[in-house]
Amino acid sequence: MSTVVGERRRIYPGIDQALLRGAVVVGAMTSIVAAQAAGARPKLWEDALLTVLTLILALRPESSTGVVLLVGLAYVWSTVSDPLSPLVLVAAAGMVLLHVAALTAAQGPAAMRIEGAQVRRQARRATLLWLAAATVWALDLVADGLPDGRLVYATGLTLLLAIAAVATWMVSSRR
Amino acid sequence: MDPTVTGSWQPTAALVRSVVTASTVLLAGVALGRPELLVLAAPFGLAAALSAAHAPRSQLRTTLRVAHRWLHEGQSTRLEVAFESSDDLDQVTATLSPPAYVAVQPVSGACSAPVQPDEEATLGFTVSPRRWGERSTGSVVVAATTPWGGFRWGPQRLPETNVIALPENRAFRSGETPHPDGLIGQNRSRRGGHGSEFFAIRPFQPGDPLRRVNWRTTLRTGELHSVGTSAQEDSAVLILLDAVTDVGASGGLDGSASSLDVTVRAASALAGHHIRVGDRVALRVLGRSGQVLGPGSGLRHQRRLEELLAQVRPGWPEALSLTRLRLRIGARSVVVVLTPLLTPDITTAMVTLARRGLDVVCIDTLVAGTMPDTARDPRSPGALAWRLRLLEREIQLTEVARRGIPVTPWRGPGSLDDVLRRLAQRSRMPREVPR
Repeated sequence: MSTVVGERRRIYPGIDQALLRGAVVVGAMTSIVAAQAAGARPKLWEDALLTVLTLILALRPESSTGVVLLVGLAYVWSTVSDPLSPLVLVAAAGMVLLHVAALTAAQGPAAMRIEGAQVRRQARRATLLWLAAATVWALDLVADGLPDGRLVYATGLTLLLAIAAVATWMVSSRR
Repeated sequence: MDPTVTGSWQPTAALVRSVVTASTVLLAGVALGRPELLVLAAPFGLAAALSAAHAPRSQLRTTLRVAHRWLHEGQSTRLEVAFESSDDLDQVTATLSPPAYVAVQPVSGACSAPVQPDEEATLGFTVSPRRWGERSTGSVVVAATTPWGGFRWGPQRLPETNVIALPENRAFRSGETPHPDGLIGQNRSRRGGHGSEFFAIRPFQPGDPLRRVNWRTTLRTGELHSVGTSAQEDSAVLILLDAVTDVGASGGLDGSASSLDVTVRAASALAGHHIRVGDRVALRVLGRSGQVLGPGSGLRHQRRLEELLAQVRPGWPEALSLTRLRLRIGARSVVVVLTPLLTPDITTAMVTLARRGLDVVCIDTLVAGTMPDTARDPRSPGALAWRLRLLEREIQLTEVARRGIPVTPWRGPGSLDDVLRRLAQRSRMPREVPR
């Protein structure tokens, strides 16, 4: 009888997917290096843990390790000696890069081709997210002269109000 | 089966990541009095807010469409996935796992595209069946995400669709048929008539055109002579297809051919040729599916014949016994038997048809070197059994040749030229008819 000729289907990520997953690693490493440049001295096991989490997220961008990784990166930054150093924007840029890269990579299988239009759209969004961090950093600098203790509350409340306003406006515009 | 599928929206890992990161870092920053943490929380808070603002409110419907359900093997068609939603979509993705004998473009089987506002979201694959028969286009899994990647629909598996791959129809040329007896067609008849081929120089008959008068003979004999041409007529051809066994591995159009591949493709080419020249072609499949098609001509008949060929299944036929094998064809028909000569019953049927006075031509469709997988190891019992079967086949070949049935291997277009020419010559000779 006739037999079916089995053909091994080659599924491997293309160069675009490799770059996208590389961007996850680059984003996390940028954030860690920026924190170390600002004076943070994370322990070796902390560095190793973050690296492992980064690699897991790069390989499985839809996994929940991204939450732990982002919180861990924020923790590393919290140990710096000069918290409002401009390097915090570099750290934020790294975190945004890894988030957006993982989001884009999780939208399909590893063999999926990434369209140029999609890359440009995600780049615009990443820039907007980074600008939010830059705005809050600028607000922090402006509010730095306020009496100690009220700065964080004032900035935090302003941020929450800004987010709530944006969300309310977006929801109301769709109705 | 309804190819439309609806599913439900689920929050993505990106939304969970944004919400948890923003809330944890923001609360920690406020509680610990660390303003720099608010800088790091801000982008994720904004991403979570924008994702939530684009939360979907309606169901998404996807539809799978294939542009052409019927096509020849090797041809390609478009398989399209359409997404319908009243919500904004950001990105649509589809993956296709092609089954055997179906080639897909893009080769990775994954396709994704960003959706522009107010634009229909569709994704397309190019699928090409590489072997005749009914083929599934493969399993399609689709997914869609909302703007800012907050919610995802799917991955959802869609019902598979099928295409019917008609056998390849290669251009075929061949000689005359032995007994043309119809009214139309391009075969040279044994009687004179209106045609283009020279038949004889004969005395002038009323109705002969003046330009056909042969003046040289007229002057020599003193009587008016004209050039006679042979009439052109159609003939009836029965294609008898042996689908009892299928030997060898089929690699589709791009690889090796099994015996049934050769048989079906040869039948398609033969039918196409005879229908093109105006002959009436009938089909009888001796296999599990047992298709029967009466004589007919024209493109519609050819299409119907190819459709039946695409549905051939190998297996033992119910009607192979000689008492039940009624072919319902005229006495002057040509029977072309396509067989790998591995079933003695088919040989017996062929000999019986020849004894009835029909012109039978046997096309050997077992390509040299073809063997079943079980015979690949020369020391295996399967190889021994295959050698015995080949010996039996040699006996059948000898028997068929002894009965005056010409056997020719299928070598593509032109395979039958010599055989049909000799049959046509033989049909003009007197012969003894067994009683």
